[in-house]
Amino acid sequence: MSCKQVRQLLSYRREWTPQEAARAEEHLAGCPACQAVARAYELMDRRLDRLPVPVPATSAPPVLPVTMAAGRRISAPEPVAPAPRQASRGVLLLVVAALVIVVAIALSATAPRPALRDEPAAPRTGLGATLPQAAATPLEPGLLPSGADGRVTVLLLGIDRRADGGWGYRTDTIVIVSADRDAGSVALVSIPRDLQVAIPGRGEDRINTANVYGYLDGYAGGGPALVKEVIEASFGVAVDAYVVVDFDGFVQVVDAVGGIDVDVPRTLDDPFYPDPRAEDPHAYTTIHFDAGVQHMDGERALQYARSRMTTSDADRMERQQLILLALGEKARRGSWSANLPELVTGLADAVQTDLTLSQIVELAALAEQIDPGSVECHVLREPLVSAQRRGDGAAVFLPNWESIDPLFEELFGPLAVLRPAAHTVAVGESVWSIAQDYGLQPETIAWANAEIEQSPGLLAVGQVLAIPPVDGVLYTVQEGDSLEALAERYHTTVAEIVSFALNRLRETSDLVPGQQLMLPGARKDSDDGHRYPLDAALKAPADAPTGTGRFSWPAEGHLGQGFWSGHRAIDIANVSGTSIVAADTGYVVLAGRDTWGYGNQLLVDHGNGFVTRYAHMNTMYVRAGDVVEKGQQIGAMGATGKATGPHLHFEIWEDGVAQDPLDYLP
Amino acid sequence: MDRILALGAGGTDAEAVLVRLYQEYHGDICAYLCRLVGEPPLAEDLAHDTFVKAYRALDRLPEDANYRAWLYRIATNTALDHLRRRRLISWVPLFDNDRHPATHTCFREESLEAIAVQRTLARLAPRYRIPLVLFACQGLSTHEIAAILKISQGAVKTRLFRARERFRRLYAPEEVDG
Repeated sequence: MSCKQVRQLLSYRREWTPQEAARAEEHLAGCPACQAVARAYELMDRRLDRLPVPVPATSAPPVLPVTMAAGRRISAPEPVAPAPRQASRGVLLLVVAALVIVVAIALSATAPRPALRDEPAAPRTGLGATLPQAAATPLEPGLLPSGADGRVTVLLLGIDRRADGGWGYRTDTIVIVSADRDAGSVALVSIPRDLQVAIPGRGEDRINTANVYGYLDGYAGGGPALVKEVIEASFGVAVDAYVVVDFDGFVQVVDAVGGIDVDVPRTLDDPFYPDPRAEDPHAYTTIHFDAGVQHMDGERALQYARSRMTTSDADRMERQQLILLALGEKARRGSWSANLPELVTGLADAVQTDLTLSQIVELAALAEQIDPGSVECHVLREPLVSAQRRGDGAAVFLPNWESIDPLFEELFGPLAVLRPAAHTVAVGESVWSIAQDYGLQPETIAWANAEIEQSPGLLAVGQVLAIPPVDGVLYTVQEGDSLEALAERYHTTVAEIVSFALNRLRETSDLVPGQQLMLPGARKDSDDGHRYPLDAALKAPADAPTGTGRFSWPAEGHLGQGFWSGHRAIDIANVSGTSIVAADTGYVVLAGRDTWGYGNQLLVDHGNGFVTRYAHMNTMYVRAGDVVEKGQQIGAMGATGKATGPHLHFEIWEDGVAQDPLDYLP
Repeated sequence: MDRILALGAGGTDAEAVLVRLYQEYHGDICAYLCRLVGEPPLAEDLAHDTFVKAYRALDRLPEDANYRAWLYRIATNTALDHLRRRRLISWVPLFDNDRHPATHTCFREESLEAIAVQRTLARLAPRYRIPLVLFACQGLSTHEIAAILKISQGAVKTRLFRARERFRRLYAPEEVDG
């Protein structure tokens, strides 16, 4: 086949017959030039495939063009699921708002609060007189929600909704706003809407769908409660409150403060900004923003925050943060907060929050003291997340926890997330010594690591182990598991499992396959696989000498690993070549290389019910059938078999039962 | 609207079929047209015309017809007609730096690539652009494309090959930055 013929084949690769495939592969194997063309075509296909299509996907069923439907009775179209390709684009974003909070939260520690501190009665009374009938929000004592660490964290969710009832929309804007009241610092973290995370009851999905699922699945507290749950469980930060804002709410907030001044870093042109009209729900308009400081009213700010078609999601998240900061700045300078109660009331249909009105007012009062320059802004973008195409073709971001965790830890302090630590086994370590380093039982580590559980005590350097936070069983939920069944299987109780805060469970919670649970204090019925090493074929002859019944140390060194259920032996560690002696007089029933992990090992039958094993030796000086005296050198220390460093693995068996050698050694 | 009302023909069945076709293919057809002509508002108009034509022709269509290929054929011809009317022999690139002097400063990351791809498509002659878009963007088979374009399947493959070779030569993402 000529190169040209092959390239012609390459241009429709996905339709190849087996014969065509065979011919092409044969040529490709020996032709780097055609390989390069194949790669170029593949890349071309990917580029063409991900070409954005500026057609707005709507969750509503498609609507016939008005011109077509007019004057004719066409029965309502049945809803049709939007094609995946459409769904992944189009739906534009939404935005954020709640300046109120953002700002407000900040610097509460450093800011004097004259209005509320010095004369708390006056403003509250005033508010109380005008507000109760207006707001569904209860008027409670103005206490900002905050955790024990003095941190107040609020989730800002922007939904893709214009007017219209119901709140079950995707949260295309997700910003964590957190203030440390002691340090007086504020952090904003924008979470990409396409981040793939575990959603209770739904498995892995995009984070922006959690709000919808929360309502669909009747989650207690609705969509925002589920979003909160997902954020807490995924990122390990406690969320005190949420604010959901739709487009109109956003516009109203910005207009209420008299517009905002945003320092636009880059010219923004978007010829595809959605401009739905009655006669054409898919209409577009062109928007343009010059670089430099721009004054924006609510509608303009919304455009700036939503525009997506000519930029990336990360860019949009940055713009949204600029808007939040601009709102903060305005809040600090303006005297608008006097109008806040009216504003909040006016927003009743456009904003949803679990903050009480008085909490908001308190936040707003603090806002006036804020220096927007003190706010730290972060966007979860690559490399903190990796773009990936899901099996169903949807483009998502996968979180890179090893990069995200340190960022959150820096911003929010210690994370409360059940994500087991990873420990890389170093030279000389054992499950036992690692457990000691982490203050855990060795069994806990063995149970959390299947390969250790199966061949206990035999570690490889470089192996990575999961380290649970407390003693017990770290369990990955399987299909069909229930809390009751797990509790019974692992000898614990549902209450015990639920009470472990990091599990974030209630007694009634559904378990999600793949979800990790910590079953504190639980235990597994384990069969450690340690079989009595002697059988009928390995028995000292009747006339062999008998041991004294008192053992001496078989080698000098330090205790590398003690006796536990996964390691019915002790490890005595020292340099390679250290002399190993018989712990008692006896008969060598086995001397050889073990394929399972013991390396060069000796088994000595002491004729009095005791058997000892010496493993991982460098060199053995005796053979099967030899008689050894107590204290006689039988070999040299090594690290043969599965060992992380030179040591002697020493077992004592009495009448077929493994004993802790430390109980027998002087 | 008058145009539509004047169409006259078509009973409830035709309407029902059209509603279903619209639901199922409007998004695809819009996307297709947008990739062909590079201008979303124009693509929307052309998609609308496509469905009007489809509605008009529906009663002449055999019941077992491949609706998808048929709609794509109408869409293709609608786009070609439009462009011929505008006497555009070579197709207008999507983003002309003279018309949008600022665009190259605001397109970032993946959208840079999209602009470059769309521009490259615009430089391909329709005879190559159409099969490539149908095959690579819309996911149609060469068999379907042959039916849409009323040419042989072998001809589709040849055009695909030439389209790819030209695309490969012309694709220059750095121009968007420049």
